[in-house]
Amino acid sequence: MNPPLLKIDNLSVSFSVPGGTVNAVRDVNLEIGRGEILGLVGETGSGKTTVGKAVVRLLEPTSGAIAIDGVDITHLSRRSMRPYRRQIQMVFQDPYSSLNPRMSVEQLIAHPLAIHGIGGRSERVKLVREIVEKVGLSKAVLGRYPGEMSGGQRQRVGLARALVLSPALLVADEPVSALDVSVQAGILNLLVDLQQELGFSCLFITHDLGVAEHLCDRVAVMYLGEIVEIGRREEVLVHGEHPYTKSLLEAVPIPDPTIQRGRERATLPGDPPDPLSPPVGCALSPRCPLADLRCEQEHPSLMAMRSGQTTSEALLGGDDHMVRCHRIQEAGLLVGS
Amino acid sequence: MTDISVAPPKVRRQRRRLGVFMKRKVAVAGGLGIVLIFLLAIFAPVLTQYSPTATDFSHLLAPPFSSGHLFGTDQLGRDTFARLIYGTQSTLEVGVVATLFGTAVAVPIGIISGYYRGWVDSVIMRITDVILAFPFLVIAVGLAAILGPSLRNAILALGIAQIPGVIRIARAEALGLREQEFVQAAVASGASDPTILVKYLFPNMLSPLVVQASVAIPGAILGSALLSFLGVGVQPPTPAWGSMLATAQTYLYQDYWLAVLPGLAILLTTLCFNFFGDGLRDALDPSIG
Repeated sequence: MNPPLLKIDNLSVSFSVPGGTVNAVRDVNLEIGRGEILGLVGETGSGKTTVGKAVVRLLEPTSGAIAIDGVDITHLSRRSMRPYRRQIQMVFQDPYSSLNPRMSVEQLIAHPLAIHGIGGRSERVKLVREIVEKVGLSKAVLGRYPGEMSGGQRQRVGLARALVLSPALLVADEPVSALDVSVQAGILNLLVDLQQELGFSCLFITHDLGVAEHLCDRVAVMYLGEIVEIGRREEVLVHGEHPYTKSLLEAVPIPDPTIQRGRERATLPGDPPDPLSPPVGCALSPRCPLADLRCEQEHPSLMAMRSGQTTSEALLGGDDHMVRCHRIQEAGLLVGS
Repeated sequence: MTDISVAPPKVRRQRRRLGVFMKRKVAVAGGLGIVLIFLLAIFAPVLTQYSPTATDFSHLLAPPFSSGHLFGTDQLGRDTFARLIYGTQSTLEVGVVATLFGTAVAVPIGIISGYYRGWVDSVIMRITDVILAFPFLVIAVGLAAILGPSLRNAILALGIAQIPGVIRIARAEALGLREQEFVQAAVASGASDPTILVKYLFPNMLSPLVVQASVAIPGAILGSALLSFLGVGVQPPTPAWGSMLATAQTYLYQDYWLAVLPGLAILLTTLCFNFFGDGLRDALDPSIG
């Protein structure tokens, strides 16, 4: 069996802050196959961006391993990491701060090529022109500076900069959340088109379930640094079983006032717990309407919905919808309900 | 009857615009003044027939507008106008070169300190803290005294004295810039540290550095005047405004213009640079509308 393009094993990232240690990401396991788009959803502070930054090695993991094509890149030196940087590129959240204001569009997009010593001068110019056209910008913008462009145009430049290296994996960290709604759709459709044309895989980080539903093959939901549910798009976003996923789904506004008003909504009370002192048991237990004594005391593990097996066994059996919840595993309380 | 104590909105708006315009006008005037001072320095030999060092013992301490000397002569019969104009050369040289030198040394140190942080940063910052505890001029005078009096050493002393302040500015900028996403993007695309420092950090801190330099130059000019006043700067017979002031003290009662003229020259030059620097700061600072 071919190794998946990206394999994240028991990834943990913690930060030292005044007052203790924050475990921003706890034991995350993820796999992304070739040409697959995996959506990582969760609210602010859930650790989804931290996972993305660890994958592109902008943050050092505290423990765990990240492998690209079966090669462990977790502890590669800067020099030996360089060829893999070409494989993994990132699009950043804020198009206003992710482009060097002192470089023209042409310089911005050509710079990664120069760093990796790809092509001669004329070939680079050709590659830059090609990718600029692909992301839907005209050649006229090549001489412009980021300050002279709109947010949508800038994000297209950000996309071009990442894709000019033809990466195998694109980490997109909330690429549209800083943009106007009218511009978001354009960028998302562009991303889908480019993904189909170029065939890269994508780790798509977002807090917007609608966006995730629009373009992801599989979706993972994060809460307080852990994956609480993962599965194929419909499994999670339509038939999501974890109480947290359900509350997220119910919080998505429906653009029809009649339906929206008549909806039954079970929003979770309270706020996410202080990451400095997370709950002993299930991370959601203080807010969960189903929580019992076991939830408060015992940390649940990620288990397959259908077979109830643990992660690795279930994956072999093709059972890839997994949920981290005691109550669901117990006697099929919620299964099929 | 209309209430005359409250000006109509139109007038108020005009007044506000006038304020903005005046502010800009002062900066423009400062800029023009700087150009004029540079022209004086360059064309000094054309502007006066006298040598700044030639003595004329038949006209000692001549008053202004007498015996063919526009601003009179000093105690050795040297033409004051010529000495003032030629003095511009050494003054500008010290001010500009010292600032360029100080900035050139300090910026790389500041960038490295702010980008790498950690113990490198701590060591550099503690050293600058110690130096910054002394006033700028005290360090400059002390260094000039140790290095020995000459134009080159005055430049060195004033340049070195600027270094800690500029390090702090460059470090503060680097600290802010390293968290920017475009720097992270450069790291993610595999750029080496030197590339990031030179192409991503340095170009983005140019405006505060230019503003800093425009404030540092008049400081260095004032400093050079002090050094030559104390006799540890430019050495006679080379004309320098500070040393002209120092000698003029002796003749203050007979010939006050000997002191007034170089004093005015120092005042006007530093004013021009300061106005220009203020205008530049306002123009480059987006937070000031």
